[in-house]
Amino acid sequence: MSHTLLVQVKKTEGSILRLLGQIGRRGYDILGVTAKLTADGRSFDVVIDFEPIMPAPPAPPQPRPADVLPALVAKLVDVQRVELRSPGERPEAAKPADSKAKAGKPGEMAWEE
Amino acid sequence: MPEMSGASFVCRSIEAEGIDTIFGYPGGAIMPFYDALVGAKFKHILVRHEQGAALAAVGYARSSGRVGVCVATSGPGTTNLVTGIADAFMDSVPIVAITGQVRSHLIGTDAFQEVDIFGITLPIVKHSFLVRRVQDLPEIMLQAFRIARSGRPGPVLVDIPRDVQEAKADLKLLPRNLEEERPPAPAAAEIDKAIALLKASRKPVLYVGGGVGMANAVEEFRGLVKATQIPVVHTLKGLGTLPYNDPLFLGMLGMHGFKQSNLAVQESDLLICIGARFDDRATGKLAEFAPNAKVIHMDADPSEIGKLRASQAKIAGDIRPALKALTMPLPQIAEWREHCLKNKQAYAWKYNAPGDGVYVPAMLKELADKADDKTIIACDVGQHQMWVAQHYGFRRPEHHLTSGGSGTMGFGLPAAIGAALARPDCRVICVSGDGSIMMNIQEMATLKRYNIPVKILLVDNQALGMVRQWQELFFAKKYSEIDLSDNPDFVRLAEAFGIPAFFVRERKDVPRAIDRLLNERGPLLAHVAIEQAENVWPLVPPAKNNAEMVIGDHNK
Repeated sequence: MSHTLLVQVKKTEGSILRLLGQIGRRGYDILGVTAKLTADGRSFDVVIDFEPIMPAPPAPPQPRPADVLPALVAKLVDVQRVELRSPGERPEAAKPADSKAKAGKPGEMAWEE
Repeated sequence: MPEMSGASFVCRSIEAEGIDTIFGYPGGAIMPFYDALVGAKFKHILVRHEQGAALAAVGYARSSGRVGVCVATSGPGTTNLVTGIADAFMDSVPIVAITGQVRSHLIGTDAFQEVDIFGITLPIVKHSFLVRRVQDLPEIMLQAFRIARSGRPGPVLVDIPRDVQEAKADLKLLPRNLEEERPPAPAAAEIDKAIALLKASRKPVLYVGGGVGMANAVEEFRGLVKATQIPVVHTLKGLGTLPYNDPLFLGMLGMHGFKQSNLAVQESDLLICIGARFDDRATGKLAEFAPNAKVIHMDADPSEIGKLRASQAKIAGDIRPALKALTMPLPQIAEWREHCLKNKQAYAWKYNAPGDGVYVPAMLKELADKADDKTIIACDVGQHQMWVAQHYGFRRPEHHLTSGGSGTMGFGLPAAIGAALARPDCRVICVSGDGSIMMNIQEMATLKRYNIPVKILLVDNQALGMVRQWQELFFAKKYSEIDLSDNPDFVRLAEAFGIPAFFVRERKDVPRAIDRLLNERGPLLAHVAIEQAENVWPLVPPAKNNAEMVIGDHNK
């Protein structure tokens, strides 16, 4: 089952590579990526389609939950906003301002269920 | 302020952080930094391999709570740092690695000693910078130290091209705002949920990891234990959070945990996980770990919560207020506590192995009994590491330096060097094995050069003991590439480095050896020969749950 992650990340050295690595090497298969500069040229808006990798036998058939990914992504220093869009959810713009806080950024955010 | 070079500014930044010692090795692309280093207010320790610099910085940071700094030149100098950086990442240790890079216009041309260390280290750093302009250094250096130590600490890489180090500009230190670095207060609603879970519990267990010490929350944790009287199990990195001689200390849990610890977790109805992360070495078969327990999970890093085990109360951020909020008497758990303490007594280690040879668990217990409250143990990786965790009683978490997440053989000696320089008020003992010690043996030269009073307790079974144990138990005794019977003569080797050393083979000589380690001045090596067939017990076999541990031959 695929999901979509909407991320705004600062345009800094290696920021997109770092973002994709944080997803791809932590048990999620990246299915598609688009990135474009924001109007002020300081950040990228990145849309990532992904699905949790199903471990092959004899490993237990327990893919990583998709809902823990926003917190993993949010802790990257240059990530400014992150939103997980679940399958079938109505498309909408990335949540502004406090969405990163909801994902659990150390030093800047509080956890919400 | 007159203009200064980028290299000089980096030195001023290190001084401003209050760091008194850094570790490094010079080379072409970092030469401007080494030129600016002359006259700096901090000490530079010239190691003999860059990996030693990174791991010494780890030891410095873990023992002192300050940020460790290591320095290397471009290319192989930087790649030699990688293992130490990965170690810091896995164990959440605040270090800043400063690396020289080829001149800016040569980046991407395969220039001499050019390596994309920024790219190589992306998965193993908390953050990294490639400095493109000298004017960016004030903000980058400020952020590098802030990021390394704030929230969940970790390594930060600052890669500086040689021309940026040489360039001059009007550079000013930016003010630190330590208040900004404090983790956020946890959500009050989650603390309320945790209190309700605690009050409803009849069989709670505290499962404590290294995050408590790193959050400076040891006193709050101990206050919680004292008030609630909940039994405590520790991860490898959590050891010392509750002193080993506290009645409620059950020991380490997990693969080589004690039976009373693993049984307490498996039987519990509430697991209060504090600064730990459900690592596979702690949980065994995750699906069967604490099968009847609800979970309260507290951690500075929100991404750890729910990563491997769902929790019913999620406390992210500053764990100290949460610990205080849960500090309350729990009279309803008296029966459970007595059950756990009876198990602790029933399964207590007997230290009565037959024979005249050195029995490492007993030796380490004797060492702990004789050592004072200011003794730091730096371990390497393997059987001796587990014996230390099981049998050396720790009183503080920062007194136990071990490579937990990464399992870095070669960690012990450089980490001990870093600790000895960070904590001159403490005695530092490196407990190593004959496999591990050879991985950074060159740092004996560093011990000698600076007369660093690290004592080395080298446990030698002439084999890669942990691998041998697994081949014996799980690979039908088909031994493959574990023989180290052609080890060098470690006493003569130490003496060649200029370090006094002595040899111990018999059990009766252990007390004298420990006395020498604890009382002699300067560096010293004790080479202790043990039986190769000795195994680490208990052991939870792979893919088994923690209640299915094998007790072994001495403590049945």
